[in-house]
Amino acid sequence: MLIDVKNLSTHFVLSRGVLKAVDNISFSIDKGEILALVGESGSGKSVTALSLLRLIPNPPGKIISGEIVFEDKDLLKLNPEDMRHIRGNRIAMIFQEPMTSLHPILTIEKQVVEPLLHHKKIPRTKAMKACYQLMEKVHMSEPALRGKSYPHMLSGGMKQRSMIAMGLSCNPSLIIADEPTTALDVTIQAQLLELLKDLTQELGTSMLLITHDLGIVARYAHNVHVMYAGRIVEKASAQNLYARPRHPYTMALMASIPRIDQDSKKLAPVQGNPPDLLNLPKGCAFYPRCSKKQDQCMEHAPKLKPLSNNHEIACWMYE
Amino acid sequence: MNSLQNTKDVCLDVRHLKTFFPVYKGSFFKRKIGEIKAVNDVSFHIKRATTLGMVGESGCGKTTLGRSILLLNRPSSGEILYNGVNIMTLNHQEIRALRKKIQMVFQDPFGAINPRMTAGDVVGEPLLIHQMCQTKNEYQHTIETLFLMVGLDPCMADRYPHEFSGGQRQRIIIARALSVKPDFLICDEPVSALDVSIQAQIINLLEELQEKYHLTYLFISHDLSVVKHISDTIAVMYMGNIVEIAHKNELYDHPRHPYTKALFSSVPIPDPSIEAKRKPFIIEGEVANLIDLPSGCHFHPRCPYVTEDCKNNVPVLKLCASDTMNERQHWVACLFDNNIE
Repeated sequence: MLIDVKNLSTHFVLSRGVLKAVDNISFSIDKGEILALVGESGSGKSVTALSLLRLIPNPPGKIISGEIVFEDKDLLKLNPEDMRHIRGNRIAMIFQEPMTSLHPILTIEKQVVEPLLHHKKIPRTKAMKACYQLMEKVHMSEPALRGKSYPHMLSGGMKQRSMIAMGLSCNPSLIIADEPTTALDVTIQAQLLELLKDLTQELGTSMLLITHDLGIVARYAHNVHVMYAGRIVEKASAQNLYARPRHPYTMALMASIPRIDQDSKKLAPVQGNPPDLLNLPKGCAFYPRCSKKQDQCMEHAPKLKPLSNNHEIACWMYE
Repeated sequence: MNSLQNTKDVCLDVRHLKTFFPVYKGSFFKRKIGEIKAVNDVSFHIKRATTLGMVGESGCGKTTLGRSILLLNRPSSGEILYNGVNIMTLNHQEIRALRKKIQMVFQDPFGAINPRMTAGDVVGEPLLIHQMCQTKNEYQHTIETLFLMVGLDPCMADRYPHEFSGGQRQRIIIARALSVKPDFLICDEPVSALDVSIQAQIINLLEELQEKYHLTYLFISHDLSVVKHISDTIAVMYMGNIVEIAHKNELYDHPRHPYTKALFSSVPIPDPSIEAKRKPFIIEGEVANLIDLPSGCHFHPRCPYVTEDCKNNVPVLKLCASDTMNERQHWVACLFDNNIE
């Protein structure tokens, strides 16, 4: 087991109340595994990712409780200096928007080489060489030319390639990819995800893939955790989840997406609106939108319980 | 594409439409150094009460095409026939009247509504502009009906846009478009800003409205699954040109253009057992610079089947298959019309 997250809660204290962005979630990732976190905006996927790296802006955010055991160390107990050795070195992150997460006034090579200089403490000439090798590895055409350019001179796809190069530069054991291709076109998305998959396989890197696209999950993930309103509501292998979704939310989500390989029948949308995190219902957060609700759903929130081998679910239906 | 059997059935007929944007250099002695050919010789038609889906990557000209049809971007040349009338020759007043018939649903539910107007006023503004209500009562009543039509509670009419969620705002935008009883809607990425669970609500609403009021849609999107679901015919755009156009199932089952094939193959199917068997057909490279178009076929720098011919000759859209029984035609702009499968 590479990383083991136990009972992680991240809350934001706002003037209007306490927002429980991540509420008591546990999961683990094995070596070489691609784990997908799926959910809609506001379900807590990105906050989970940021919590793993302790990048939650404080205030207003705070990791209230939990343990993040990574390579036999609890990340939440490390001092800031030690934590800095983890970020970008052992755990790397690829952010959603390459346009805003690259530094606009530094050249690409300066940004790609930075983690190498910082973490590996190797001489600049050697680091530069490694940097160009990396850029070739992520299929950037003419690395010498691209390296000297500034982010605004590159296309979105090229920017995201340099983000991937930065992420892989120190050979991390875990990569967190937060919606890595949402802002990109489909053909570029396919190129980049194939590249990420090949590189992580080659280097034996694990990946936490955060996305809302159920198609991407089906193509790349080994295991899937579905999040709703800050909690994990269903955990399963990708095979199992798609063949037998059990949580009413997962089922509703699957029925609501149009599929390109099937002829159109009427879509069955998830009823109602996404939950207001400051004003969650008392029991199960999905209760107001659920088609299979029972009385106890209103009163008590269900806990995640194993249903069968490798399939866990938080729903009263299966009690 | 111009030899139509029955022109009465055709709602919109676009012929050789071009929309170019000049590119200038210098601030004082401004000189034109080139043109961006956003829409470059595009022809298609849409039958009444059907949906044409327009897909393509960002920058391929699909939004400009939608705006050109409403004359929001003045086309450089070509013809746009709406119910047989060339709208490019209309005068100012006639264009205004035309916009009552053709309406647009915009992409960004947060940017397309004035934040300082109440939802009711947003929906009612077109009614006032086109003077469609005689009395205040009638105006109120119409707004109420419109709210109900798109599945909103009429008592929310006094609220301001920030009080609504993205899906609800998109409903307001649809209600505003429908307020003047149009028969043609240009939907420019109407669901791309919405969450997956909300997307389906809006898609269903658009479908219901089409059935009820016999609306014709031009549905512009980059999301192929959504387009395939809602459209009857799909046109694929690449760098300002339509490269392929056919009935959706024909296009999905037998794509003729390498770009179409790559597009469909890039979309992952939400089923791991299917995905495991699928071999993605991935094309390399990125969309070229629009100012400096590649010679010959614009797709040739990325095409895996490229030959010398492609670099020199510009392919034109030609008929490659037709199903006379259903009046379905398959057009492709590729020098090789052999099956690439």
